[in-house]
Amino acid sequence: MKNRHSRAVRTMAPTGAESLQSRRQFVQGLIGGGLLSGTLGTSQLVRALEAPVQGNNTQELRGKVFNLTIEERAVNFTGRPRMATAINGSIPGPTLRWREGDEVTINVTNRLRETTSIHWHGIILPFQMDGVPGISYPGIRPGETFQYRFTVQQSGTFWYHSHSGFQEMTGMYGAIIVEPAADSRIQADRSHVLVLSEWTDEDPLYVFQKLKTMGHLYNFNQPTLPGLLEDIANEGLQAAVGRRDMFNMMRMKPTDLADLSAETLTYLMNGLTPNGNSTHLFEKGQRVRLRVINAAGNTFFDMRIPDLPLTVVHVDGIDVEPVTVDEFRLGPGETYDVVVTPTEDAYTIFAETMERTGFARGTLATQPGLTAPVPAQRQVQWLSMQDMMGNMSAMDREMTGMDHGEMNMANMPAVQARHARSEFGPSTDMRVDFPRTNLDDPGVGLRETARRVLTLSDLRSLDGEIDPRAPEREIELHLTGNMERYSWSIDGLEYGKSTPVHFRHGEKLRVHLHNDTMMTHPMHLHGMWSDLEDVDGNFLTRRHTLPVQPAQRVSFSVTADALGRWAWHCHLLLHMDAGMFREVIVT
Amino acid sequence: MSTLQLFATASTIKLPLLLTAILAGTAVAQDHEILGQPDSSDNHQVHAGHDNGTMPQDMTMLAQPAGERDPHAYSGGYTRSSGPYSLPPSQQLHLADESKFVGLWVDRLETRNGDAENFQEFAGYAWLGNSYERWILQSELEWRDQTVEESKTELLYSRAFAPFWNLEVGGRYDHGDKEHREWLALGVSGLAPYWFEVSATAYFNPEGHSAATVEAEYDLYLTQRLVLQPRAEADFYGDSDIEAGHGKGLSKSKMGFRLRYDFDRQFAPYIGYERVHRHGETIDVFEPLGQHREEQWIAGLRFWF
Repeated sequence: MKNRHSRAVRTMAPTGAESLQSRRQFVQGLIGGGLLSGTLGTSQLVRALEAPVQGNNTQELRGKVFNLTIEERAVNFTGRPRMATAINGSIPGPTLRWREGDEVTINVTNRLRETTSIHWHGIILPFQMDGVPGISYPGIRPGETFQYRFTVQQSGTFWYHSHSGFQEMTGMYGAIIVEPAADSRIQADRSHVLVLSEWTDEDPLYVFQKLKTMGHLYNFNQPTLPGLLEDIANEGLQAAVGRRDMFNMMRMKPTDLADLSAETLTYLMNGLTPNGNSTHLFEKGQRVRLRVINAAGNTFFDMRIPDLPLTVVHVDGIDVEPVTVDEFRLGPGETYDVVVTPTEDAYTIFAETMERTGFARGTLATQPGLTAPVPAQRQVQWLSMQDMMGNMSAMDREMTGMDHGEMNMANMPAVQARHARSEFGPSTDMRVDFPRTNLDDPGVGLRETARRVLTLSDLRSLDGEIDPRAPEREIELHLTGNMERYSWSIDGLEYGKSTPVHFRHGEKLRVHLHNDTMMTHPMHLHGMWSDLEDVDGNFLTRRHTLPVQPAQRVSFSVTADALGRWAWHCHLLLHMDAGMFREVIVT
Repeated sequence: MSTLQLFATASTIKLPLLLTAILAGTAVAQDHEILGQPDSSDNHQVHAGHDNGTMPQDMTMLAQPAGERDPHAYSGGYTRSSGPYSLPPSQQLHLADESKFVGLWVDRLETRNGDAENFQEFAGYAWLGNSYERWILQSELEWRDQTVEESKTELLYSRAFAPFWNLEVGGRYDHGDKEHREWLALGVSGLAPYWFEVSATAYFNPEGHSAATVEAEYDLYLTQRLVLQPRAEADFYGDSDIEAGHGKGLSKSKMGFRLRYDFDRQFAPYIGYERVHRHGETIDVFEPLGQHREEQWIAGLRFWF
């Protein structure tokens, strides 16, 4: 804390566009943010806070043996002191630097009053080391130390987090960097870790309970009467009413892009609020690798650095063919490494939330204290017909024999969903019969822009397909929910009512994840890779977390080479805990 | 009164069936199928050719309506609590879908200024349960000068039978000036298309009396926080019960609006206006008091936890 306070932080002057904003200004946080200096009790915490790593307060640990201690800590991100769950006294927890091929030992000590756990997100390891309480192991009880030990078989950017209750939302996450055994294919002069996350002053369990009463509790982008009148004036009565009709009939909100918003969340970059301004240094002309990790519980971020093209080189821990974009979207659990070559003194790193109520912000600068203008926030965009209905051209062909030329869907193959019988009940408030399969869709809010925006179809693994066999079989799982009841499930069944999904050891199978909801779900399969395929079944890249957009079907192959029981779930933490979760058994 | 008869008929013939089906866990009503097509097995038969013939064997042999998958078809016979690599039952993962939650919703805590006099009203409920099953303790109180003049208390078991609809069964206890009445309650509540919150409940008591209440409300967003809520309510009775203050048929209706300001979605003061009408035989009870047709201005608070 001391070194952060002593650093000069220039006050940011609001840009014109920002001050004109009529929307509610979200909590941008204290200048300092983060852990309260009043709680500097242990030498460990002091060490964590004084470690001058990467221009922020995150400590870095390297070697083969690591000791992590989970403890409650007082924090203050918004002006109100709260308790958080910290790892080695910091939020994010220390960055762990491993080396490919090393056997690492991590001793995790629980000093909480409840069971805790750490899951190594994206790391291939024995299931007993995966860190999911109730599936991999019983969890780490209060006072206990659990020893994780496994050999690191991969390299790149990963992360770790608690898999117990809502502990991740209260601060339990950190970055993992695995250095390759050989030389890295990604050339960079320096690298920075950017951990995006969120903070709520509320008890996450209470947030969850409130959503059970009112699913739209935090949505302050509701359609309004003046909005309708304005649309009638601009588009005519028929168009304005028509645009709303389907949503109203289905009892869906066109702005239901996220369950939580800046109404309760403050968005963080490396544990710092937007005003805290996480600053990352470079020298002009250097190639800078930014390892961006979305460690938020519930928020999709749209990440960009105005005036600086982003060359995406590494996604979910896999080197990909470089693709240069202006902006990319990342959901909870996903990681993206980009290389930039800055030539000016300062750039704003701007990670705006998908539902457009707030942002995480940092600065890339040649020296501490410099800032660049912070972009104005964009207006929220409504979900479109394709988010509700999927493949409309296929639907029209099936229903009326007519072709529906618009929206570039004319050539999309007609895929008929096979709904589970358990989707026809109170748990499932909508079903899409003809999903869209367009992986080149950047998603709502990023569609109508002149910027180059990354899509799933842009990703090509540098190493190509690892398992060239044809899939032996296919399974189809539907992502389902009921926003009014705030229930989330797979095939209409919450986890408590579900049976495991069985993979035969050694088989290669194809999975179709079909989204019967209007939200985007980042689906994370533990223990095995999700090999993303295009609509023709061609391999694109390996992922550990795959976002599935509304009314979309995403297909991937799995090589079931990891014996044991594994978790498979939506990485939106509240959806996961609501039951959008399956156990996978590999025998 | 025809509406009441309708309720009575429905209750004697259809509702027990409905209730049985619902309690057996069967989804009776299907809400929107997205394409608006009927969800008949015929439809799925027609499209079966699009499945590329790649579905595993065990899925095509299900004794299901054609086209609908068995959600357990991928389990290979395994369960979460037994088989290789499973943890002992006491250590198994349980998520919030298996938890119970509680809540308190105070819909209307208000003071009403009528033509003749002022009084206070409370309407709210406490609940315990999950997404699909809840116990609800619901109360409506009317008081003036710190004396409760009328109260209606219900204990209901609510169970979802469709995505937006719940069936409610339970009991109601009315306490009035002089009399009290006990009822069995059977109702439906939910969210109709176009976001109308509606509920309709029929009441019966052992003496053979019957009653019904229908309510509907709508939230019209003027801004993100200023919300106009039109609301209508009607009470029906199967018999005249002058001691309890009502005649046969439609006895009382309320129509009006509340304009609330959501400081957040949990705390909202409001002002409002309602017309309260007595109808039919009930007019005879209230006319002498000049209260059979009243305009009331309202100020109150909505909040919940």
